[in-house]
Amino acid sequence: MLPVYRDKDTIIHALHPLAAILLLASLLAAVLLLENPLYLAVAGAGLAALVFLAEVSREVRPFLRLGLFLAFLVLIVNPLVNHRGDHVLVYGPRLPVLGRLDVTLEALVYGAVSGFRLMLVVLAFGLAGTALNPDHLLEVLSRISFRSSLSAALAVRLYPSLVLEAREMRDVQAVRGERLHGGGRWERARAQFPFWLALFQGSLDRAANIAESMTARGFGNGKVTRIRRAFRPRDAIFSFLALGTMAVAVISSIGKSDYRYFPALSNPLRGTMIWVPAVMAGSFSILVIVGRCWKRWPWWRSRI
Amino acid sequence: MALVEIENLTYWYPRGERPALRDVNLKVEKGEFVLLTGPTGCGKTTLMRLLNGLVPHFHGGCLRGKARVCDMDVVSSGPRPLSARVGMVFQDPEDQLVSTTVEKEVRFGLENAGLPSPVIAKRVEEMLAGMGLSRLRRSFLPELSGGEAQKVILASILALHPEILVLDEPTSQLDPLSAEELLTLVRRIHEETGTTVIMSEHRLERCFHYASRVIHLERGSVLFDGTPEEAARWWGGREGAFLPPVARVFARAGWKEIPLTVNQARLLLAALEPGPPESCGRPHAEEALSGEGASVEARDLWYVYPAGPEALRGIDLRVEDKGHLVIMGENGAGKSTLLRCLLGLLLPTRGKVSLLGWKPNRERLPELASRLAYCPQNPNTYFLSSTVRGELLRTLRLRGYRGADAEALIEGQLRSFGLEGVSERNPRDLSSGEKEKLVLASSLLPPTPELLVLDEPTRGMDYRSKEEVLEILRMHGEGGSTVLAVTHDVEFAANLAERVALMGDGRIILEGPTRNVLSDSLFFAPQVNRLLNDFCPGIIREGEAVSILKTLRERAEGRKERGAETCS
Repeated sequence: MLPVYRDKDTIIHALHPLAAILLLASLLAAVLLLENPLYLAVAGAGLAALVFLAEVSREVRPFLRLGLFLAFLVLIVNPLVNHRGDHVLVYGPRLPVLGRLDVTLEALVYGAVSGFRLMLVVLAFGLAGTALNPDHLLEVLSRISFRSSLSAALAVRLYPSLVLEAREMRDVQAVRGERLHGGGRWERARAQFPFWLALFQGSLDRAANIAESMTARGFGNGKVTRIRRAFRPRDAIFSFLALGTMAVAVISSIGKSDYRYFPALSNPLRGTMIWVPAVMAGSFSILVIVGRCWKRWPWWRSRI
Repeated sequence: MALVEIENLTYWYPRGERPALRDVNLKVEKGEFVLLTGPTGCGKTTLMRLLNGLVPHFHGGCLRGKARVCDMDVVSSGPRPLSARVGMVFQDPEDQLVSTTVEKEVRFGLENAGLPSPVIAKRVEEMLAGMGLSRLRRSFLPELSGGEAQKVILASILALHPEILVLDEPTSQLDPLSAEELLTLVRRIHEETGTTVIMSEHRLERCFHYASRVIHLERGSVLFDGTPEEAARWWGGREGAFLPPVARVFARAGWKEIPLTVNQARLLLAALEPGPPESCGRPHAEEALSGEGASVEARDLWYVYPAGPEALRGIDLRVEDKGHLVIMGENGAGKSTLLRCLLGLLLPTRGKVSLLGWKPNRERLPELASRLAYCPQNPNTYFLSSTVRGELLRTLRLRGYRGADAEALIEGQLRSFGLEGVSERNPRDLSSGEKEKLVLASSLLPPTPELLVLDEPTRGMDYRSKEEVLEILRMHGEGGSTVLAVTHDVEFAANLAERVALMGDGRIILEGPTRNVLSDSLFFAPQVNRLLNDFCPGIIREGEAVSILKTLRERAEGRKERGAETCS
């Protein structure tokens, strides 16, 4: 099953595209701008709550796996290239140019937090890809650039077809006797080149056919009608809380951060901006409550 | 004033060696249902592209003559103004869908036409309700079945309220049930709205009788233009007639009156003097091979998709060495999953599979390449080379042939499959029939495979191409190979296999000799069986039906002559 958007009866799926974009932007702002691992953990919990609210926990699993893999990679690589920090855990050998390869507690924690951050970014895009209606999002984008939004819509539409075609081709060629995966790197590249070329040709053929179909349906005739979607109270609530979270993240990143990894780790609970996670946790809690009530109470749903 | 007026029109595609349309003269009046017939590459698609200006404006090329559609000159106006008046549905839904959801797709053309929002909203609702798509309105388009996707395309075209609806083989990529549904819908639209319909279609048994006019093209020229009844008479008993099977057998048997449907044919037989015979006797079921071994065998085979349904539920299947077995069943019955498990492309959840004496798995498949050939449903997934010759050479290299040997084998294969004329062309640019022939030619290169697996080999093919493929497979079968095919095409199965397995809901419902399985059925029986089953049970092939109808005709004529002599 491909991780793609499927319509569901949840408040996240029902959001106005503008509110959905703001929600995604606020998540990304929180994840990318906050330094304190405690704050980041709160942002992660918020993201998990939204995944739960959108009922896409199964759909985002591939993204979670990818995120975990990347996080693990960062966790491994960072202490090997970053030797700052007061608490040396392992004294490594001294190499020319690189110097001494010591592994420090600070570099290890910094790697773990960076990996976690990366995982949350991947997960946020996973949530966007599986719970936010791409047509609605692209409608908003089309007001800025119609051509770009159309290209994006086609890419979203054609990605699953391309994946399925690649799978089918791989199966057919396996039965035919093509060894696409054996041998060394060079042999593999040589064996796979015609495969990727054929897949590319297939995509070009499909693009030409779609262009023909679009022309037959009047694409490029002139002025295009744009749909206006109603901005409902739920959209206002989500937008307001998303903007609030974004503002908090931006404010906390301006000025001097109250958390340091080097030369020694700060205490995440002792800081001047302990209100940041409190505001974020409050925002996410309200979103979850509003979303659950929307799901459970028809009256509330009709009101917002 | 005619809706379509074409005068002395000749058209060449860019770099086309011969004209795609040649001296075409045509008039189509409002409200007509025109069926275009002809072999692949005869110019049907080009003619339809001309109607909405895609030819010559999108494809380029050179056009001579006049074409007016909806009172607009096609050459000077182009596709933009024509798009609102001529709606076109192409063959493959995958190549037409632009948006990601059903509702957005239906809106696409309306938004392009710049209609006011309330009008768009009304038409979208009207189309979704009218076409039975309301429950799918927010569905993700790539996840729809082919039939549903083609219905969405049709809805998005009809939302524009076109004066002419042009359908280019709209069911060629669909299973029989979806095809039937779509064609019924088109008929309903024509009858209820009076929209002019111009359609090309290979499944003639489903639409020939309700067309008001049939136009037959060959090599870009109109060879015939008249009613379906006149078309049936025009074809007479000629080989390769583009008629429904029931009409074809009556024509080949030399009948003067040619019915277009099974019902008409039954009435004709019922009116015979002295009536149809009580019984012709049941033809013997072909002896099924009971060789020592089995090329393919599955025992208690189960497959459950991760977090999905049970696709296969305890399948027991045996394909004898040198046997021909066809697997049939509706979409979702589990046919493709079964084929993938048998080939080792999917690892069964439970049960045993033996493929040419091996336990199949993906990693070991290259070792079986010279003993096993697989022709996929979509031939494009087979092609990795830029020329037909290159494709054959690629297979030969995989089978260990090089140099002059390979060249000689390629020449021979090109000749025996009638592909010499296209040897330097890109395989992707060939017609459906030519593509299937190329896949077969490549698969059947030496050493001849012991097992040939075919997945929907006749999809999108015209009647003549089907006959050619059947002939190739028959010749191949005589060479002693085992054939395992999955198809929806009942006529094809009847002519190819000696055994048929019917699948439903992940299980084999019935497996036995073709004659037994394909008789006495409403939907899994060939047209000739449905026609003759009452008094000649077990007839499933056209040749058999033709000889029975010939006998009946001669008997009726003989009786008439004797009656005339008695009177005189």
